[in-house]
Amino acid sequence: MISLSSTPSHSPSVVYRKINGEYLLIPLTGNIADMDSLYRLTETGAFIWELIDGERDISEITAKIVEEFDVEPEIAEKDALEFFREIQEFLHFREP
Amino acid sequence: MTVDLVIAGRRIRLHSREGVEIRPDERFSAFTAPAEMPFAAHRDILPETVPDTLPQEGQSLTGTGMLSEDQCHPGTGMFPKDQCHTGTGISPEDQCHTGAGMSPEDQCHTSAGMSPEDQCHTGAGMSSRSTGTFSERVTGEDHDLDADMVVDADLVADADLVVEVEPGPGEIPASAEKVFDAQLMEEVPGGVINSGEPFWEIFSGGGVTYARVFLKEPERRALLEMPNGEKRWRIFTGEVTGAPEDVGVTADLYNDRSGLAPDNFISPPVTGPPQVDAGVRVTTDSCNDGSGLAPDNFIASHLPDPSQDDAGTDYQTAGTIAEAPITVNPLPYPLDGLLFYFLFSRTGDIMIHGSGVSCQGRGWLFTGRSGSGKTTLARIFDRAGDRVIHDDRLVLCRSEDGWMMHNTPVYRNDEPRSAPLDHLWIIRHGSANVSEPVTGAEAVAMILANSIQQNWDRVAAARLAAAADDLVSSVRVSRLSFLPDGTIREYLRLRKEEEISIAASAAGALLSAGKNITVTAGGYSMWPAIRPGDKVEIAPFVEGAAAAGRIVALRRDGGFVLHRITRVMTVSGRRVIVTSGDAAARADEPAGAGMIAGIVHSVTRSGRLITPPRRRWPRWMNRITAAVAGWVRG
Repeated sequence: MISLSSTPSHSPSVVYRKINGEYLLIPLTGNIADMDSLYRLTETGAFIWELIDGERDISEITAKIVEEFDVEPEIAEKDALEFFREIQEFLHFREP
Repeated sequence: MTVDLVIAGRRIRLHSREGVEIRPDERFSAFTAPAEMPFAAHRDILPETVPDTLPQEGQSLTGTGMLSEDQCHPGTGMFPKDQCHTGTGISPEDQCHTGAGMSPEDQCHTSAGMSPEDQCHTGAGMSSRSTGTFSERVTGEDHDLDADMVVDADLVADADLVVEVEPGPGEIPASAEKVFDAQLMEEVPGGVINSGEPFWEIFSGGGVTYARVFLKEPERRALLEMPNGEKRWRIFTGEVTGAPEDVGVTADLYNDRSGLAPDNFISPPVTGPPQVDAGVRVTTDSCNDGSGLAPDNFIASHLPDPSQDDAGTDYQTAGTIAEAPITVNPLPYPLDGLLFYFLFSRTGDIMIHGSGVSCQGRGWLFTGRSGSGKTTLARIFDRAGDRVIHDDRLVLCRSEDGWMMHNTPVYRNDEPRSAPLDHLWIIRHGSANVSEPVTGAEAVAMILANSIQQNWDRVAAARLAAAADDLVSSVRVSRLSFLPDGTIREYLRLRKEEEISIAASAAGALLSAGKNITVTAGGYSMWPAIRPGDKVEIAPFVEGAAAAGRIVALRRDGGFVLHRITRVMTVSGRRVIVTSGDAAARADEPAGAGMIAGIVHSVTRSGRLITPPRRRWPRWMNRITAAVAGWVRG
């Protein structure tokens, strides 16, 4: 279960590339049948992606979002958790 | 013998030992080049090393040359020394077949006068065996090692890739791991389905990538062996000759981790010239190369039956094998596509599904999912007398003059064709001819989604993304929905920048004169508020009307773009407006009010006046479904 105390890190099974402030995520797979999607992170998603370092937990990442954007902490928290759930296949999570 | 193919400007040299005749099928007829033809377009293949940090924006993996001193065997330039030690780079088949007719134990120890282990450690042993296997020029009885090396260097000198062609199924060492599985994908109305039938598999190990292909008619397996970072590969074409009972192979020996029985040994003989009719029984002891591994290639069944040869024949000379030649098709489908994919992947090019045409000096590439209209468009341009580069598969290469598109052999009557690439269109059928520019990550994603890719290899995936990023920086990319009639050609042909500018300046003049204008929307950036084909009435812009939520006509690229104002700010006393397409993932660059030509007054769809809905909440992420068709049979 992903929570504010989870610490995300990038999965080695994804290749990513920054293009014009956005990120393109290319999932690595061993079967042609699984090769059906690429993902694009918007600028806000890219901001969070770059904060993922295997050290910060989600609450610390949320604090950075609040620092950078004009957003209420509760909304940033909710949105960040939603974001991490959405891209969890590209991440590993370490629990405290 | 040697057969040179030139595909997308790259010279692929197919080479076989004496006694093996290479006969590519008729798809390759027009792509075959004289071996002596000068060739200037040589480029190095990129290294297969994983960069510490993957290439980022503005960076790309650059070629540093392939055959570095430390990588290659000093004597022959063929196999890295290290690979010999692990038993993966050196093929026991080579070790064994020159000694056919002797007991397996003898073969390895006598064919070159030293043990296989010694051979691995010394250039002399390798060259000695290479002579019979790789050189046609050396046919005399007096082998000269120095001369052999010259021959070897000559063979590689002016080719981008040298492929040694061998019959037989080849062998994948037990140490190699399966990294990718591709089932036969079948094209059906409305898409592509996975048949579940094995089509090809990729293995990796010991610095070598292997592609095993399941072929039909007759059923057999072929193998493409690609030492990473080298320009010398091998193909085992799958032809197996000889009676199955003569081949003493057990499932234990066929240790490839696939779990499959070695059914290739009972494949029916292929058509072709006279075939030799015996196999050689090999045991694990026979090719003890000191690596501790089972022999990789124990199949030498294409060799002459020693019992039928005159006593005293020198089995170490290639001449013996030539008495019973075998003809092989070096690149049966889909092995051809795989070889091209791996070559062009390593050279940093892009292989893409699409139709390419050259229309009045402009190169257009139409790509999209299966059924999106690629063939339809090729036919429309073909009928109009334009030059169709290809209607199925193209290779995009960066040249000094920009990006080029090239065809590859797919159909029987294909001939080499190329054209500069000016515009890439992501197509789909529609009820009107409308286009909309796509840029940045979205454009790269759309190109990747339609490119041939195998996303098991992070280096290759990163390199392809880098190439696509480079492509979108110099080639325009647009979405295009089109009517499947001749009007699309006119739409694209007349869609010259000058003409759009004229229309825009006329519209701009009307707006400046205080008049409303009505335009037909032609893009998706404001979907669903404004859809292609909607009639949009634009009123002159007045400064006070700039408010978040209003849709405005922006001057851009000599035309108009309809976007919504998301924010109005005052920066250093100056009014700055931020706009964005509702469907766009990111906002436009903030700009002054001068960029606004007009403000949307009303939208009419199918004769009904509609109220554009409010902007959607921005999303974190867009998922782009890829059309990864692989190599669809047919």
